[in-house]
Amino acid sequence: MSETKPSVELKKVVKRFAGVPAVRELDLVIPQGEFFSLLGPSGCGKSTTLRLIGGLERPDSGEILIDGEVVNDVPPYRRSSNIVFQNYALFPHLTIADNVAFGLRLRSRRTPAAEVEPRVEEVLELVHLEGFGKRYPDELSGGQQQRVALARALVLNPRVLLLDEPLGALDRKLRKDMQIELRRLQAELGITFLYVTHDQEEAMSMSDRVAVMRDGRFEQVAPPEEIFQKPKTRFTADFMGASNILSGKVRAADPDQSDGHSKDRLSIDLDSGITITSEKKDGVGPGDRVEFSVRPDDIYLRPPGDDLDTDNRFEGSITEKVYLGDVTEFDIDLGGGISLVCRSESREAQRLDLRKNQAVLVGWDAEDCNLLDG
Amino acid sequence: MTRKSPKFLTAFCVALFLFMYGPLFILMLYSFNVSEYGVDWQGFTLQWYKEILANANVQNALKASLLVAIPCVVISTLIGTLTAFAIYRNQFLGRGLLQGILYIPLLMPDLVMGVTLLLLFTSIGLSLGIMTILFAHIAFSIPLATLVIIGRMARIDRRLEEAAMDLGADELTTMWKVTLPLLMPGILASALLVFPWSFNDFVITYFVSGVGSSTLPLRVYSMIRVGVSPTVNALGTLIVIVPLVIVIIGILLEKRRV
Amino acid sequence: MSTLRERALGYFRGHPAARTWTLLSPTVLWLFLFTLIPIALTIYYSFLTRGAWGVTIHEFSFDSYRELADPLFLEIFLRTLKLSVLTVVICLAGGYALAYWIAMYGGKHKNLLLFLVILPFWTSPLVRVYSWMIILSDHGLVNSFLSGVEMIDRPLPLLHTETTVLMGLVYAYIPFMILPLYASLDRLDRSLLEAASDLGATATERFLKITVPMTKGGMLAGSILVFAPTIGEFIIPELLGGSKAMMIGKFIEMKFLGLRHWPLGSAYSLLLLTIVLALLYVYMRAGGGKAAFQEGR
Repeated sequence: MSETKPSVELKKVVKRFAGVPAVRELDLVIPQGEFFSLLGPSGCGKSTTLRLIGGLERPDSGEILIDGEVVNDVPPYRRSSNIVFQNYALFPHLTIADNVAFGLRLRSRRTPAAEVEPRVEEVLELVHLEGFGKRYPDELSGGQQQRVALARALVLNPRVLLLDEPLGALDRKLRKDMQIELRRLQAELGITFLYVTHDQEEAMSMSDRVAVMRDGRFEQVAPPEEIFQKPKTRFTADFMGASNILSGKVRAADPDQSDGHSKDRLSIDLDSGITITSEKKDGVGPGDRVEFSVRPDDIYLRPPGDDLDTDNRFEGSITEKVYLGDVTEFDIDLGGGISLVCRSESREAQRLDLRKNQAVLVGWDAEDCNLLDG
Repeated sequence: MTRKSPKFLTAFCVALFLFMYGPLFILMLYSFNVSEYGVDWQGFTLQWYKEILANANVQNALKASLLVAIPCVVISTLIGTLTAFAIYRNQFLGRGLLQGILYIPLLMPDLVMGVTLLLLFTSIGLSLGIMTILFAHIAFSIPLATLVIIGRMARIDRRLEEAAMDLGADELTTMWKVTLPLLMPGILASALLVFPWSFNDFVITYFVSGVGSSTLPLRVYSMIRVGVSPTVNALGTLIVIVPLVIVIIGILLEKRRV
Repeated sequence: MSTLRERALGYFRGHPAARTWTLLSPTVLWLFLFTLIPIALTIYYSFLTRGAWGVTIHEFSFDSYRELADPLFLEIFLRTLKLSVLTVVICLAGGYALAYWIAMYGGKHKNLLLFLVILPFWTSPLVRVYSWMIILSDHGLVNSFLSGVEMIDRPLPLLHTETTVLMGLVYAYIPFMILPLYASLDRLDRSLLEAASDLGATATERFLKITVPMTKGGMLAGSILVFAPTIGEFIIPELLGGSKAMMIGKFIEMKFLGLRHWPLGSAYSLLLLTIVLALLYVYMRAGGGKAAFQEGR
């Protein structure tokens, strides 16, 4: 069995701009055919990373490999990667067809003239822009321009496609359609996609794996479900919307047998006096100070007096209620300086008639306590 | 909100335009006047034009002016483009200083430029003539061309070049297929500025041309010193109108291309 | 596998300094030969003296600079400064009005009007000045008209006064004032004026307190663009002023070419150059140059 080389590899890559590090000692392995996203706030280094892989920047130290070969000294026009730019970067003085054919027509590629047109047609069909060949970029809408940029890169059959926040300028509905489209394309073509975005929903809906970046480093690299449900650091938790972050001291690690099979649980005493029951985590023992996150959507709300069968159950009051359409967000005060954000489906919230300044029952399960790394 | 302009302002501005253009119209008018002296209108004629165009001195002067202006445009546009690339796209030691020195000819009074260059040419024993005029004109035109082209460069999106390189074009191919086409309006603009400047330059040329050579402006000057006359009117009109027409055609062509 | 082209490109990619200086070499050469060295030579010459029949004696001397204190020279120098300053002031007043008119009320015709302002740049300054001679000479339009209606017996010597020279200077240089003013007015954020109006300012107040202060940059640029060439002007005073309104430009030309007094001519020229460079320095310090010289990444 032959060993397939990883599509993209970064080994201790560092990049500085005017002395300020943008990318600090990154290590990364992306296998062939993966849809991989770089997610993070602006300035975290995700675009720089993409540009390093594409060849538009040279690393100050470390190695970048594409298909197993070190490409540090390979200029962008010799790399088998292609970029879809954020602002599309379509050549205004060329037609759509000429834009797409640009890479094909370069002498270095030695594409026979007869082959160019059919390939251009083929890729325009792929992105649903048949017949647009003779128009100019400024005659097209943002979404259409975006697809031309995609076509222009794909027609060259790159080994890796690098997408730098390509959907940023599109409206919400169009963006969602394009996300589905991109995912479908990637699955169909089997090319490795490296996708840069600051929108966590976008990253999660399309990717096989996501890397959350901050200040030039990876905070966590994992499949979307893992990042979403088990964020490892406070930053990641906060970025992914797990905005309830609490800290306390571990009391004991007793087996809990309340539902018939043993689970390992931890009791954590919050500074305010409340005790939380959480799932156990390796390496955490009695006496340790820990931080943990709870997702707003994992918290249940009931009117006082109702049944609530969760591991953690407290009384609190609703300090704020915000209707957001699908969901309604509640700010809950648990006393002792603890406040939580909770999201419920609006229909449910209406049925339970939860109102501002009301007392409420708040609860969540032990598995939904996500212990964060120190 | 384009409100209507206050009447006095409009009147003033119209008067100002009349002030700026009036004399030229009068010049053109009197170039067709039969009367040789004085300003009474005595009839329409083209004789002065015929006379001046047949004048051998004038013809030679025209040749000389073109012999300087055309190479000047070509060379300064070429070098100006290179310089614009060097300055705009790179950070390097001495960049600010270079720009400072580069733009000195544009700000120096013509006179001073003429004097300094005359001293240079005579000190090294170079005989004054078409070549010295050309050298002087290029010295002024390079900064002018650079300035105009840099202005255009500022509006080219770098991402377009990055995209071209990403798609497989090396630096030279990118320059040829993407950067230069996008830079064309600036290059044309600089040619359209350098040509009339060089063709019409008087002061610098006056200092650095020798006894024998004479460009059109110099010839006009020696005719003017004698006094007002219809032949001068005719020549003056031609000097104003012809380059203007060329420049306007150039601009219209440029608008069509873009 | 790599061709000469690839190797060359690779080299230049890795050595940005080499790339830059290769591109700059023709310009640097030209600047050096035809701007710096001539200026250096002029400085050198200014410290020499003139012998009989215009031969320059290569001995160090301050003579030329002492001549700067000569009363005749000072008279001409001060007149030149006076005329230049007046030119700037008049151009500022008239130019501001026109720039304002085009920027605020031009609407669809803005580009056409601007084009009309720029047009003179493409025409021969010599011919433009000459056309005033047709109007103002002893047998010119004005005099013919006035004697025709018998208001005067003899022609008015219109062509030989300072006023005429001043008018000629304004005529020639007002476009230099209008363009930077227009640029500055065009960039003015209209919403500022709307806010001022909303807060109670009248049209005059809006103009004086907002428009004018915010166009200072344009006014400064335009003033320098007019003043610098004006002090060295010599065609206009020659053709429109004659001996009664001599300016430095003509004076230098006389000394240099006429009398072959190169040291003196050099010294005067350097004086002019220094004034212009000093103005440029002031302008740069006032932050004027920043917009013009934006660098790339």
